[in-house]
Amino acid sequence: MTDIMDQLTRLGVVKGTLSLRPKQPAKKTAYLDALQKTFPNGFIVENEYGPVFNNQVRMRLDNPHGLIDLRTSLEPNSLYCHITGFTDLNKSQLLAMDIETSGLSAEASAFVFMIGMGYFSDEEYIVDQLILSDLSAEKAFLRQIEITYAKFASLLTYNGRSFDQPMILNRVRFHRLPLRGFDIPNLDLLHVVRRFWKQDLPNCRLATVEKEILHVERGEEEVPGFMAPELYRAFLDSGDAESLRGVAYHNQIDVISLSAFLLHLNQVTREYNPESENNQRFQRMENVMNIRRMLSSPDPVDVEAFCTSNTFLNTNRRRIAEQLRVKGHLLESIRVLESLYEEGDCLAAEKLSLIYEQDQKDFDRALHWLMRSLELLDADATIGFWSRKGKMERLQKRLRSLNQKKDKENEQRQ
Amino acid sequence: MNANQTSPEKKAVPFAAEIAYHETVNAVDPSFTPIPAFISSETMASLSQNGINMLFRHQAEALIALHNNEHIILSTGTASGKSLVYQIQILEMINSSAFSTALLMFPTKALERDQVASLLKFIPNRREILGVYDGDTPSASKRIIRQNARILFTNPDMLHHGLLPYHPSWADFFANLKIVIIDEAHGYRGVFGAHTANVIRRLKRIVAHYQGHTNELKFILASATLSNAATHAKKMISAPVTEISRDFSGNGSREIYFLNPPIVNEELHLRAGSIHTAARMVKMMKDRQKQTLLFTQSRQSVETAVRRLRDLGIDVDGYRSGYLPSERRKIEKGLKEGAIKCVAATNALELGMDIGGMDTVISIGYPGTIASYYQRMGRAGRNLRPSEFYLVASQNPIDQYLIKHPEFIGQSRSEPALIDPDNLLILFQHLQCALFELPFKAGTGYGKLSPGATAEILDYFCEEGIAHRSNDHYYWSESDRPQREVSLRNSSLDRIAIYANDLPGRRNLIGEIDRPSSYWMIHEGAIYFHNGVGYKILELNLEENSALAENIVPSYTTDALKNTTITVNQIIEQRQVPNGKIYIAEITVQNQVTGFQKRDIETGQLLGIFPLDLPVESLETKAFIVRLSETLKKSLEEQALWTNNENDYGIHWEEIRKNILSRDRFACTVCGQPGTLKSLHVHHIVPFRRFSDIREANDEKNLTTLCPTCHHKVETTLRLRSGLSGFGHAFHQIAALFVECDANDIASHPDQADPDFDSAPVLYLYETIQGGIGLSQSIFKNFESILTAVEDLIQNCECEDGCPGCVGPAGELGIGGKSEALAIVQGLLVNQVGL
Repeated sequence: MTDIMDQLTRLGVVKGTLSLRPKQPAKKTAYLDALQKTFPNGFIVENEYGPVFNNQVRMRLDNPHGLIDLRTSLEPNSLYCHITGFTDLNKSQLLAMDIETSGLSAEASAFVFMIGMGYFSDEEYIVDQLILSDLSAEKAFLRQIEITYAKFASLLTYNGRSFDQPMILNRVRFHRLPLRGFDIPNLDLLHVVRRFWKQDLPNCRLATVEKEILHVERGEEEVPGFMAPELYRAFLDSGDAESLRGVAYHNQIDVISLSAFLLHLNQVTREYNPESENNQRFQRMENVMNIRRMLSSPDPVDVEAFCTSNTFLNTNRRRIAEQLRVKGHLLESIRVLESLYEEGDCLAAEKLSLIYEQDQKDFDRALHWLMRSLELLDADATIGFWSRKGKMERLQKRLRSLNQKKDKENEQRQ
Repeated sequence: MNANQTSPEKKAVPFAAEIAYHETVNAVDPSFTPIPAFISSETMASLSQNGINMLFRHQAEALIALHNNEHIILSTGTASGKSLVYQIQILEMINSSAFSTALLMFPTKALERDQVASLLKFIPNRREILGVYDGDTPSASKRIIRQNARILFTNPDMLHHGLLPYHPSWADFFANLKIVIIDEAHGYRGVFGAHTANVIRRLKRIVAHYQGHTNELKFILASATLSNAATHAKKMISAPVTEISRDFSGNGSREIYFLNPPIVNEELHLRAGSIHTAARMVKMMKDRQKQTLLFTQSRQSVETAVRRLRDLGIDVDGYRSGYLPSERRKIEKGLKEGAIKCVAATNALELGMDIGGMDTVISIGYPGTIASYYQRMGRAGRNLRPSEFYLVASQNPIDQYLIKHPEFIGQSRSEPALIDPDNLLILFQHLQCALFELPFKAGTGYGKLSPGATAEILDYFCEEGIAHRSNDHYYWSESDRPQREVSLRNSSLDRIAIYANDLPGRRNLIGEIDRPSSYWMIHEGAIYFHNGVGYKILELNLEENSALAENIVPSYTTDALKNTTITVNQIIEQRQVPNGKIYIAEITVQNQVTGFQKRDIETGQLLGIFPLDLPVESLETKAFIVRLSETLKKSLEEQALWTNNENDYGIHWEEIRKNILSRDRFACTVCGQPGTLKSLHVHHIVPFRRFSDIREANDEKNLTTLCPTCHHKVETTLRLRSGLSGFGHAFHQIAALFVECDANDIASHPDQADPDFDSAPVLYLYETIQGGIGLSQSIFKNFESILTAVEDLIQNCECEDGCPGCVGPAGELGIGGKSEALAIVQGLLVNQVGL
């Protein structure tokens, strides 16, 4: 044993705890060859930082992905544009992207070792899948991502805003690369799924969306995503890329599913009929859009739609009332709040009191509504002890301050 | 120095205590100098707005050294304006560049926040560039701080766990890092210091990664007085450091008194309690309108002092760890503004909190180190006004030694801060962290490790599958963070929150406490005082880290009963030495609170003992062990140099005992507490061991009846030194010096007859760090050199019969252990005939 290791062993450093792991000498120069051997369709591209392996996969558009026909075009409709925030309907300008990494967080040692970038060309769907051939080849790998990004207008990701993009940017910063081309618009489908499909799905993972909505069945090559870091380490240790086959497949399907889901989203928004009672998914969104439209139009506001409990949630109605108040439609705001009060909404009464106090300086009415609010709070049998106590304290405090203001006003009058 | 000057204080003090020593330190005028011309006009303006137009000379010297691109350590007294130096440097940085960043590291969270406020005075409109990043920072703020902060306040633990491992997210910050401040640098000693020095090494590696070099990175260290400031700083930052330690801030005149509480029982030489005496002193100060700070040795004595003082009608606040930050801020502010006149505190107030100066500082007992003694004294004296410092001695032998030998303080230098950043196991741990943070290029070294040795360890990591080598670089390839396994501090940061149920149905947070202390301070049934207010602990929930307390007016206090056991699990290495054998062993030290005693709050009478079922705190560590041979022991006994055996009072003892008890009417002769044959003790006024004739020792004039409480008090004053514990005391201190650790990183435990070693006398020196970090091995290897140094120390120490500097002080009436300890050392050194 060498001297330094001998000393460490005496100090209790245990050698060989992980020695059961098979140790094959890595064929270090041959990582690229190994990738080429496992992925014969792949090829090596070069940029100023060095070579990068691109395991490119092309598929014909007439093969459906689950239930989705990949030939479907993106067609304009306002709901779709509103949900996605994108008005560009050029299918070929969207780059679907998903990464595989060695770890989960922004830790210094976590890196991206695979990225799938899928896009529509005329006849085909193409996935440019870059695989990091070796840890020392990371700069070229990152530069190649930037080169690919440059050909597209926007990104399509799943949780890309919080994970994939920050992860890539972290590595760019780590290497102090002068690369600025990563900042392109990003349509993160996770947020869309959370908003409109959450109730229909057991969870919002991409695999679940794929199975439940797109009805895609994955092939036998599939390996679960959490195994990817271990399999990549196996590749580094052994110099044999066979372990990456399943990871590559998993990544490709993720990417295609992203593009397919976007087509599906466009389809359902197009077919959405607000009159139909069966389709409630976008109803609230439609309502919110209506509110915005109504509030931004210069025409007089018709608030009656907000004065019944059928269409809108009480929280939304209070929010509308507040919007109206801000816009200066004070009477309309009061009308909506009164309708809420009649249905027993304690907060609406409190809000009314506030409007009379602050906007109208009418302390009598403000007091009146504050008392109504207290009554409702008192009558509410469902509210918990501590929330009641908290609310009660707040209302009492307002009551005292209102009374003081009123007294002061009276004094001034005298 | 002007001894024996008569002052009003001196006239007044004798009513409260005996003055054992008095000294007047004359006022020294501060030495001012203009702000150096290279400081920018913007910075000058900010300083001027805060009323600063001149600097102390040492401050200017520090700025000049920094201007000449030197790293500096400022090691000057309390309130000598150390912070101002780095604040000016930071102002300069902000004013000269829009990107440069600075990192400020403090050992505690409280100091971070204090310093933010202090810096903000100069740049009131730049709050957004200051960020506090520690365990208390809410996650929501973290991202904002990452993006905006240019002046980052943190602690070494956060740097280790939360910043360095995530450096890509801080890339811009590190790419622009120009100044690193390490405040309270004397605190980074021992194993904690060695770990922190490695965190700094890793920080420098990351800065070099982003900047290409560390040439522009300046380190400013601030520290209490240290005898080895420059060396310590150099080890901390792995680069030469200029020391600025001459203090030009001046001081007002200061009266220093060492007081011994008055004797209350002449025969037994029993003195009044030190807290009681100090309380009377505080009362005197209060009557003279002086702002007074009272230092005590423990959290519990803070509470005792608070209660005593309030009994005397003094408005006092406590200050110690465990108080809520809001309470602490309030007290600091009150002290600073003069609204609060009296505070009883632990050493928590020795650290650099800005509380201004006091008129009077009273320290109950010697704080344990010279540095700490001066820190406490430094709290006295506001704006060059005269001040007083009192050391009130307790019955503790060290205090009593100082009372007799006050010159000990003047002759001693501040303790050095010892660290060994190149401890192999610590290097091994941090090499993993460093590799996780950045790949290693083959052929580079780390710390003291040569490139070859570094490569060997890195290759070992590859073999173990936690690293991967490719194209001349080593990469970390495990998904787990090694930082998780490496803790910088010995103590856990786990804290137990104490809630009071004084509002029905609602829990009201009153304080917090570290987990190990919770076992003995807030066990179920314990009486816990918080700023003088009594609580009874109803429940200690260790799973939820909380305790529930009920506000009561207690009629009794509680004392936890602790039990410590050491078990040897495995001998790792052993070898023969003259007259003994030394070992390295894996041991388990188990501490358990097994129960508690209730004592009457007024009389201290024992009211009962109650068992507790609390978890065993287990420390698995390594120990260095010396075992004395039977021959050595026998030879020492023959020469009357072995006093460790239990006393044999003779066959008639039971009878004599009964006679004395009935003579004293079955009541304690000190407090008058009545008792029974079983509960009362019979005490030898002159220690039994002093007599060669058993009949003389057991003469009825030498015997008296005491209750257990009074007996305990009396015995503390008599605490006999044994040769083995004296040897242990000296060996402990010297071993720490040799292996460059803090004395607290090792603990010594003498055992006169250890069952694990066939009842032979044994000295354990065990590492207090879980798992050990190789200190035992180091001591084992250097045993002979350490022993020679111990011999040298004891032989050349000028004390008569033991002092804190060698084998520890002897009790006031006890016999010392100096010659016994020396005999043991010499026995182990040379195989002399006859030994």
